[in-house]
Amino acid sequence: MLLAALIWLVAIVVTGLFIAPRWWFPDPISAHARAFDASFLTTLWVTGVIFVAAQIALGWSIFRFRKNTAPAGSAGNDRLELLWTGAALVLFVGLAAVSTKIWAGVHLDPIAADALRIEASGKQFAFNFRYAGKDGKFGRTNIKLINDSTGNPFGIDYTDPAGRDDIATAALRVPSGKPVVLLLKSRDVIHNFFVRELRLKQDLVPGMEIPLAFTADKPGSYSIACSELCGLGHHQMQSQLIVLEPEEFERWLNDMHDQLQVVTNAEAR
Amino acid sequence: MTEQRGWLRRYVFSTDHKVIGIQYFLLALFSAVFGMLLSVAMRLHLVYPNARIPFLEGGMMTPEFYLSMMTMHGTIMVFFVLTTAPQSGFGNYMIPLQIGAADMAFPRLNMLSFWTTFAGLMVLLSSMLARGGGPLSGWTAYPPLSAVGEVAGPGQGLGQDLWLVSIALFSMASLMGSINFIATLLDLRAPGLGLMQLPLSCWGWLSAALVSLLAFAVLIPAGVLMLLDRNLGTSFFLPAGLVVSDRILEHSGGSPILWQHLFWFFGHPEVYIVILPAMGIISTVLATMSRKPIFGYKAMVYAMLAIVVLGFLVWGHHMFVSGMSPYSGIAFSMITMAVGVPSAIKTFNWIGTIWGGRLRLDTPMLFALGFVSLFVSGGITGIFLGQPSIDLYFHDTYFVVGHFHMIMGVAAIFAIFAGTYYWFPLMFGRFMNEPMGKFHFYVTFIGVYMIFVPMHFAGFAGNPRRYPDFQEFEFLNSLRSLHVFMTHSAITTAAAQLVFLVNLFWSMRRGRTASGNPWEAATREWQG
Amino acid sequence: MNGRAEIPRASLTGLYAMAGAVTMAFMALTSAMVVRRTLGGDWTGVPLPGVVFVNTAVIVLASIALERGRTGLTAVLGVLFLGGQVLAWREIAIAAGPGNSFFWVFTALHATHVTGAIAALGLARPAVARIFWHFLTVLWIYLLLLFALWGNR
Repeated sequence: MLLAALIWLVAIVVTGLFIAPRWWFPDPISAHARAFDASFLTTLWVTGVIFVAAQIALGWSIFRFRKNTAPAGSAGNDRLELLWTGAALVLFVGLAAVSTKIWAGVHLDPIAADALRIEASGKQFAFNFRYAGKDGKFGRTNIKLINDSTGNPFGIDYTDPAGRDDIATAALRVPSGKPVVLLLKSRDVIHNFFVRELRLKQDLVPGMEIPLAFTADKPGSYSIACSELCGLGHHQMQSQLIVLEPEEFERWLNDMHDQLQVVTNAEAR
Repeated sequence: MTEQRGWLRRYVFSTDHKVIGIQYFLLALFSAVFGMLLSVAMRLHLVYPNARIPFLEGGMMTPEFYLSMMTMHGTIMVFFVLTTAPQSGFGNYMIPLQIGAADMAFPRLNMLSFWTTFAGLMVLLSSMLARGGGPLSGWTAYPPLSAVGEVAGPGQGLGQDLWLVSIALFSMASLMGSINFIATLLDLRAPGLGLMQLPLSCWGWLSAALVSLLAFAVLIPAGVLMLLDRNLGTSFFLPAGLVVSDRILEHSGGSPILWQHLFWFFGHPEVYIVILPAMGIISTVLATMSRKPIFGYKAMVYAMLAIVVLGFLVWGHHMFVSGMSPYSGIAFSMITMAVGVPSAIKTFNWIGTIWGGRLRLDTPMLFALGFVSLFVSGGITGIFLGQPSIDLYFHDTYFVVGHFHMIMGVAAIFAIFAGTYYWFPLMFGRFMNEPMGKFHFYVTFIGVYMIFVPMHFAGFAGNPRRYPDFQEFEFLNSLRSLHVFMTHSAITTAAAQLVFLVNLFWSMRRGRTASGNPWEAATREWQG
Repeated sequence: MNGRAEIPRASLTGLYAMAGAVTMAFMALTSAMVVRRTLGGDWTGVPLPGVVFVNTAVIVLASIALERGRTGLTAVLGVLFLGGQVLAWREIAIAAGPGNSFFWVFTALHATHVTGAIAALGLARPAVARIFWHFLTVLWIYLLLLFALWGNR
């Protein structure tokens, strides 16, 4: 009796928490993120109904038969078995089939030819980003040249002309509304690139270069949090995704480029 | 002298299935208490990260100490509690009794299996004392973090090696146990007792043994490959171009993802090794305590067998964000959703079993009913995580932590409790104390919901798991009240387990005496 | 109880279960080798030392001897096989290339089981020891084919 009431209480409280949530997703900032939210809500509705129905049925069975003295009920019903097996199969696999489109949108759709390519690299315990610069080409790298303190976390080989205008930064700046593709890498252990507002997560795996495409459309600053255990500083490994208006982004890129020129000229002298 | 040897033979190096069952049970009980204390310490650190702690070097808990406790908690709970108690503990004690055999098929192998498990636990605990401390790469031990040694962090030296040795020992013990279970259940049944007349608890142990046999057989070679990468300079899991802590490492061509495939090929079936015997125990308890045969016996057996087969085909759903081919992601997703179906069938049939029954609402039944409720709540969130698109957000958040603690953690623990309260009269001729049992149940039932439901909400907010503290991110600071609530719930729930411990040992000596078949069960173990 | 007559059947079941687990372990290693070879990009095969062919003959003879009831001879041949394997390992540096590494893992795991099989000749039921021994011989021939036809390239 008490248990039946408690099970119902659980169902009510949990449902209540979903109806008036205090803790929820941050606002989405891309078309994918909005599609994710819609798909999540569909799953939430389906599973929510199953959850409430199952808990109520369980509580009701306990309540109804708590003092039952009638002879035992049925020990099986093949048609019922077939019915709920079929229903569960259609419902579960159906949900997955519907949401496959969103997954394909992230990983299978061809990446826009004009997408801005940015290399993203992880190390214990920081992210680094590299822009190809004016020539649109990433310069050669060499792990022997990696040096975080002199600002060369990628080990760019500056004897390669393509590398001279490469820009390495600690924060990820992208233009709003323009497709971007990150080329994810790691130099030591597995890390993970996670931006809540993009509803995207992808591991950075040593020895691999994994592309991750997105188009953010809401200017602002968002946290990048490492989401794959990478060692004792895992909880400190973060960066910022800064979405800028396109013109602002161009201005920033030009500024960075000018600074590079100044430095290279100074070195030349 | 002879008497002493006799005592050793009877209670320590015994080949008797009942003694071995109890030995496993006590080993799991010790591990559970230790693992639970670790979780309380972790919960406290998460909400009071700057607290001064006496006896601890430096007075504060370091991130590496937190992570080594986390690794220890996961490893102990998954292997030495959840795999050990429902399968090796209850299985060893009950199988011969339920099928009318004198003992397990290979009693000496059985003893060897227990002591190998024991050695595994000792090696695991010793890793905490190794130079540099225990390993901090979690129970999944992803390379390169776990495979490059001390350069990747304290505890990644000797501690990680000991961890691997411990897992190898545990795996070998599990293989021995599985061989014993399979041979016993297939060949030592009493005349006339067909497979389709076995109690569902026996089906649970049999199907878990099948899974265990094939899954642990993969974990051992995987662990060997990692030991070689760590100590002999091979490159199975380590690619070229690694620069760890500014040191260039000489490896080439290995694949970190290869470990994930091997590990999860074991690791996902592992959850079924935990939950299949739990399902079996719950089915038996529900039927007896409803004074009815189980509803849909055949469907229940087929559902278990479906889980055995499908369970080996879904490992990739742990790897949606790993960089694995996106096409595999879709395939794994579909099969993952399909493996939810047998679980749904079981839930329906459990409710069907209660329906129309004459319920005995004693403590074992309460825990069995609590199991069903938790199984639904923990299973339903799998529908989210099985979709790769939704896992793009939830992977490695507290949503996942909430999910697996509900379904494989506390649901299985509830099955252990149900089994303990249920079979206690058989094992000790006495009941466990009912008022204490009821108190234990209600506090634990409410408590686990209060701990783990909020974790899902932390997951909605994107809270990553395996963070030693939440102070570095603004959005995590805003979840503080939620975490404080979980921590307090965890402490309360953990404290209530003391009641169980007291009840367990008090009732062995002082409990109300029980008749031969106090629950009027139909299964063979009570008919002696 | 009815136990006594049933025990040999249980022993066979246990043996088959064990063989299943061993097969699974070798399948896992084989698939790891396929994956490592496809993904690595640095694959180098392992040049098989000639002594492994002698070892093959030795282990096949050991199986035949067992079939003829010459258990002692089988044990001697088993030890000879292990000695031959040690000679093979001395020619192959474990970390010199992925092929070498896999050869080591496969053959060392196999040798561990052969050691067990030698012990089983004295400890286990004859029928059980016999099947286990033949199983390891077949497993060895599989390994030989794997490395002679594929792993050496």
